[in-house]
Amino acid sequence: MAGLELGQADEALRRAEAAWRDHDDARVVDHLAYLAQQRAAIAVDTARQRAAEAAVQTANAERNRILLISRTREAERAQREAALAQVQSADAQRRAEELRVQAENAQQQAVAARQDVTAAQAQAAASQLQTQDAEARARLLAAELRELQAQPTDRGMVITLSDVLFDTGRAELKPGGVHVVQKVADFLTEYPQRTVAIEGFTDSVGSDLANRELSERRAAAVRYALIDMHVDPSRITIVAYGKAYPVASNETTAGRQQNRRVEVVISDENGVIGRRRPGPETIGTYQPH
Amino acid sequence: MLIHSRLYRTRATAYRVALFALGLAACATSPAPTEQVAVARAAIADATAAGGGEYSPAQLRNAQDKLARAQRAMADQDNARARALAEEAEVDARLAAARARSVKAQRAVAEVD
Repeated sequence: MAGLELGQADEALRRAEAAWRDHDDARVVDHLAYLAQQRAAIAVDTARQRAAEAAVQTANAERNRILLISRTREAERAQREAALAQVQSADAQRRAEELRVQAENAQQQAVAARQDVTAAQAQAAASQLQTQDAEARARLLAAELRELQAQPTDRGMVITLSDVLFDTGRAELKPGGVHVVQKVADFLTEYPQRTVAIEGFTDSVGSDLANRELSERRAAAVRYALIDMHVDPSRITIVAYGKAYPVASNETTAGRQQNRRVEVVISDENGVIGRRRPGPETIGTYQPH
Repeated sequence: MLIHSRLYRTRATAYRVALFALGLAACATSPAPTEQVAVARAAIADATAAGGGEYSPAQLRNAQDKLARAQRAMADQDNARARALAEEAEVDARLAAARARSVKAQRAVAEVD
């Protein structure tokens, strides 16, 4: 540690001892001893200095080692953080992609919804047209029935062919009657779901049998006329009531003429005709076969 | 030739005697320790620069004191004493420098720890 200084101290000591052995002058011996003592002190201080410097160096090396370790760890941490950031970035990218896909889906759904709305509007327009069509048909039906002078009753619309449309006491239709029957036939062609009941009536003059026969023949005449006009026979029923169900008094000529009539009852759109309620003057009905 | 030879021998002997006398004189009165004084002065300058005035003032003062006395002794032709004082001044100064450096180094250790 202090080799040079120790050597010098040794040398000084040897010279002092030699002087003392040789019985040199006391002042010379004292002087050399003083030099040796100072040299020894110098060696001690130099050794301490070197030791301290070595300690500083060791400490510095240790500090550098620790610094290096901490920097290595810092670098490792930075690396880990960078890797983590990369993963997070990838995550964020994936989420963004998902959101983009969702947005696209939503857009597609919106387009589909718009198309649905358009379709619904078209359907609504179509159904409105249908409604308008149905309304128009209903108005037309009403107009046609009005033309036939049909009367609304609880059994349905009833068209009355009066006595004047037949020859007196006979069952042949006059041209006016044929005209009315033609309108009924047109109506039945137009509305194929509907059926008709043809009911014959007379006044109270004459025998019941004759009256029923006349009422039946007149109803049948109307039925044949309709069949001639291409109405399916299964859609036409006839009933002969004779003098039953008068609509006016049989005491006057005008009343009796009103009672002599054929009524055409039009069914509802399902082909159903309500039953005639028995009136107070009902005697009985004649059902032809 | 002989005379000349004897004369020469005589002169040579006289020269030798003169040289011997000179050598005796030199031995009896040691030479001025100019070099040692310079060494001591340099050592004091070094100790001062190393901080001896602060860390080892007694040793440094001793060195300066002895150097001054060495110079006075040299002026008084007391060369042996001058040399001894210059030698002591040198080691005192070197101890002051070594002490200063040692203390500073140990303070550095304390700072590092």
